Amino acid sequence: MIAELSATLSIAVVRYALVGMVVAGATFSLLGVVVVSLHLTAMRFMLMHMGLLGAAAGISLGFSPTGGALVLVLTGSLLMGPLGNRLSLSPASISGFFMTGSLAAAFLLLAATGARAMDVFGVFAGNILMLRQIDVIVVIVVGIVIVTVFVVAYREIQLVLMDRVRAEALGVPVEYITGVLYLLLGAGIAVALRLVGALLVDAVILLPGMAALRFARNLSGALLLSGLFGALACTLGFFAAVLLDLPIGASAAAASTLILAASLVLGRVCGVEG
Amino acid sequence: MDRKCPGSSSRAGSDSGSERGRSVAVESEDDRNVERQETVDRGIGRHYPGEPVVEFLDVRCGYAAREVISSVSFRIRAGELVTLLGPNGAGKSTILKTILGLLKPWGGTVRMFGRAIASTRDFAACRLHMAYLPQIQTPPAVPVTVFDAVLLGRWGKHFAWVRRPHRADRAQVYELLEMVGMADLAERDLRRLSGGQRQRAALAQALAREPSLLLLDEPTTYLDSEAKQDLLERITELHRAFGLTTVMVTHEQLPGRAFDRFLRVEAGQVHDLSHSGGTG
Repeated sequence: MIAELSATLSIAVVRYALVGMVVAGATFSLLGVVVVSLHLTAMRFMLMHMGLLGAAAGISLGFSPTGGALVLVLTGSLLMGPLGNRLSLSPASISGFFMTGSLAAAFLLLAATGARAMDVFGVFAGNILMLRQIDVIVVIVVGIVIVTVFVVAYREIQLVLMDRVRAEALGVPVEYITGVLYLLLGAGIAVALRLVGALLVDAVILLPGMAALRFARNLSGALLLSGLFGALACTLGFFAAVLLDLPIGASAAAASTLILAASLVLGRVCGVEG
Repeated sequence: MDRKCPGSSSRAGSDSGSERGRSVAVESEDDRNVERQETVDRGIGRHYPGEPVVEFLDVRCGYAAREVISSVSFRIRAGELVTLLGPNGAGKSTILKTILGLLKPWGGTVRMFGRAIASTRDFAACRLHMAYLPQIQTPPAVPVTVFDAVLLGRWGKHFAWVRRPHRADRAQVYELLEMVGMADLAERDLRRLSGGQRQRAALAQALAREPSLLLLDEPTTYLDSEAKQDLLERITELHRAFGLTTVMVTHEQLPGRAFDRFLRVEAGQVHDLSHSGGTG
């Protein structure tokens, strides 16, 4: 088994996949705590649908569908905060608006240009073994930025997640902080799309945060546990996939789901829920 | 508890780097019960008992296109414990949010700590000397210990961003938790507390800022009668002990007569009930 693992890890793309998965699991998962605390689960769907529109535009108009998806995901995350504040709408309402609009625009575009819808969905399948060195560097850079923001603005983020109104009253620049968090979430989702595909982004971003919030007594504990669970899920998923010849993204998602399920059961049985 | 904690700024010198060097001109020779040499270099937030801390002159304000308070004028002096009394939707919270600078006045003049407030920066400077207890203490979505929650009340004035909390900040938090009777719950998750306990933690958080002006928005809402009585006693005790200027918004007649003044807010207008001899 060890010989088999060594042989597999000697392949560059496999090593890139392992590093990319573990770094993403350990760092992108910090955003899961924000998603749960600020009730941004709808925003994740909205960003995926904007990515769909970007990919559809790429295929229809002849530029890179992946690039189009990434640009629109980041644009959507940038627009969320200012639009919500300007229109006095919650992130969920704004997400609903963009989600439906993006989907409609994507299908209208495909119909108008005669492009195949399945080609668009192919962009969202994700393939960890297609990662290049530059992709791994992007994952590491985004991960470092995420961790740095949480370290530098830890108290400020804590205040915004705890009580937005009181944070404003204390003078915290709430709009800027939520804007930065939305942007990080957009960047995380955009990169994770390439790693594990649209359907499994939650495995890297959302589920570890949900599991961590079951146990943690403070934000730093939640962030640490989230990073730990994310890294664990990705590592377990990776090695299970290599040893059992399974798809890596799906294995990581299964490991992440199992960790969340275990946290739900343990939290209930041991009475240690946060 | 060091008596200079809440409301420490009523007489002493500046404790903030940004305040040092600010000079306030002596306005008149009349009834100020102060020594002349102490009246210079006080800065925002420095005031003497009886001096106006909050002044509204024909202030209009609201949300989106809806005007909630119209042509409101009143004055709150240093050391007063004032109740803004009125039915739901009358504009009480709007007045508090205007004082805090969370809402920009549509018209009229707002003076805080003796200075006309003209810009967001003016409000930001005043905010360092104000503490706000919001209307509803819902459990936070994120885990936070009571200690951390109270410590965060010092944000902006005592630490922020890369300027991390010092040992003195932590010591102050423990003293405040003792004061509100929650020292034994310091490491408890705020989400696991009762409404009354969360409200006491919020009061400690507000006091942690060492404010000159304490703004309480319906602090007794959703509390049972025992918790309500306990909180009101703590607020009046704190006011008595520290002379902290306190403005409390409420929609119900509260027990006790410890309040200096009642301002009735109705349909966007403010009436001083102290002058008419009633409490609404």
